[in-house]
Amino acid sequence: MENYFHKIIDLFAKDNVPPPVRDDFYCWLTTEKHAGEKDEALRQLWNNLTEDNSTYATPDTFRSLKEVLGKIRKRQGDTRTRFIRFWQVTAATLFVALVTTFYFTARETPLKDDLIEQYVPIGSMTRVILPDGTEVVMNATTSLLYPEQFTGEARSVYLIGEANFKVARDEKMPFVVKSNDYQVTALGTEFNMRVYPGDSILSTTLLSGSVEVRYNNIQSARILRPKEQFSYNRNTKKESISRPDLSDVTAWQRGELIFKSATLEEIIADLERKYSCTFVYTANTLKEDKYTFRFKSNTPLQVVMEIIAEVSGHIRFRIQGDKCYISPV
Amino acid sequence: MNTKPDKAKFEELFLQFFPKVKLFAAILLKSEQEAEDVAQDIFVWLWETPDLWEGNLEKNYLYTMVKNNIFNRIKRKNLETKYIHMQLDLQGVIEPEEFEDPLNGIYREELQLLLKLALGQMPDKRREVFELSRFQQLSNLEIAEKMNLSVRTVEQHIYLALKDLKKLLLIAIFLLKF
Repeated sequence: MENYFHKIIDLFAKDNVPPPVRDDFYCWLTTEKHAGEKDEALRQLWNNLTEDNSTYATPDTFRSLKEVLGKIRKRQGDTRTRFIRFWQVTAATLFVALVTTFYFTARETPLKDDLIEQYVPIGSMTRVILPDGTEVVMNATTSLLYPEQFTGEARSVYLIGEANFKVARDEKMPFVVKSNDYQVTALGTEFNMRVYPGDSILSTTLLSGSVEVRYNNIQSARILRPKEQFSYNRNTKKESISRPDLSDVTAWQRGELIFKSATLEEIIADLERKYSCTFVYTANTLKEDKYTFRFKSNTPLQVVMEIIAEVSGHIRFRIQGDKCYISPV
Repeated sequence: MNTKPDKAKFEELFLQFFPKVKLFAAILLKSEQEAEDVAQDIFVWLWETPDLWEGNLEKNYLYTMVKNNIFNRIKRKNLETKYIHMQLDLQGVIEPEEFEDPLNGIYREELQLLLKLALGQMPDKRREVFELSRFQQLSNLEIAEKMNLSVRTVEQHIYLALKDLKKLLLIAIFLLKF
């Protein structure tokens, strides 16, 4: 009996609900009869959505935040209040600061608060020059948000994905790259930052110069020296420093694929981005074994998969159009 | 007393909960724009009551706020007058002897809503055939003529429709003849 309520919510959540039935649902939902059971079913839906701790803010979330802050300001009706400059606050310095910088910098004239979003689709790579001359090379499925002009006390940008930054030197305005979990500050330097939403390990590798890595929620910071890689594991929340082979770290820029002790699942995530191919497989097909591979630039997917299948010995694959089907042997 | 809300904390909360609030609202209101409005409303309101979140925001409290906001929007649509009570004749859907719903009648509205929703999930042709057969009481032959299908196809559609409903519901359906 109690399943009726969950089932109704389940079915309603799907796409095919004609408008008259929608109205029936709304009437039913809001009537008093069985209110307790209805509420319980709704709560279940809510819990399912909020239990997922791996959600990631997207550029849209930041735009919504901008709008909400705008509404709050209007309600307060206060245009000359001075606001805190968030990027100076060490603890919870989220990227939002970039968005709010343009509202809250203490100037008379309202600043342009338009953010430019650069998005690199699957299977490609892009180079962008920022307003200060900083060169950014972006990997597939990467999003970079930056302002039309750098103003205020720091040059702030936001990254989701992977990019290599060659920061133009400006001692007066540090360059800050913010991501979902931590931010990196540099003066004039080159570093690679890999912070894909699906990855459990996020890393930043310093190629030259010096950078400071600072967490969003914790009051601590670490300075990186050249050739050091900072890694943060979102699952264990542990960080570590290592000195990887730098040509491995920048391999993606040359179109190469390097995997070191990576599971098939991790390898496939990168393959999907590079070859704009969707992989289809059932759970448990890919095991937890780890592999090390090196593929030269422009190796066709067919060849890559042949080698992987051969080495792992427990999978078969078939490429059809833009899909690659993997099945156990 | 500290009157200025902690902006950094607010933003952190926002990034964490806004997408979820919006998704929850979108599922129920079936409109991305309305969901955006609901979520923004909630957070503008939250900003003004920092006591609620400067400690630890109670997820349940947030749920209640969102639910109330959504319910208010629904009530404003004034749908009571349009509420149609449709009786469904489901003779032959499930053998009454196999399953007995002991709470016959207590969850009548729920049953009906479930069936309407289940019908909505069917492919169009199948639903159409089924509705003509069960709600409009047309014979298979009449349906075949009306929809320009063979009788065999009509029978197939009805068979599949019943299978869909049985599968979805797995409960005893009592006979309700209107």
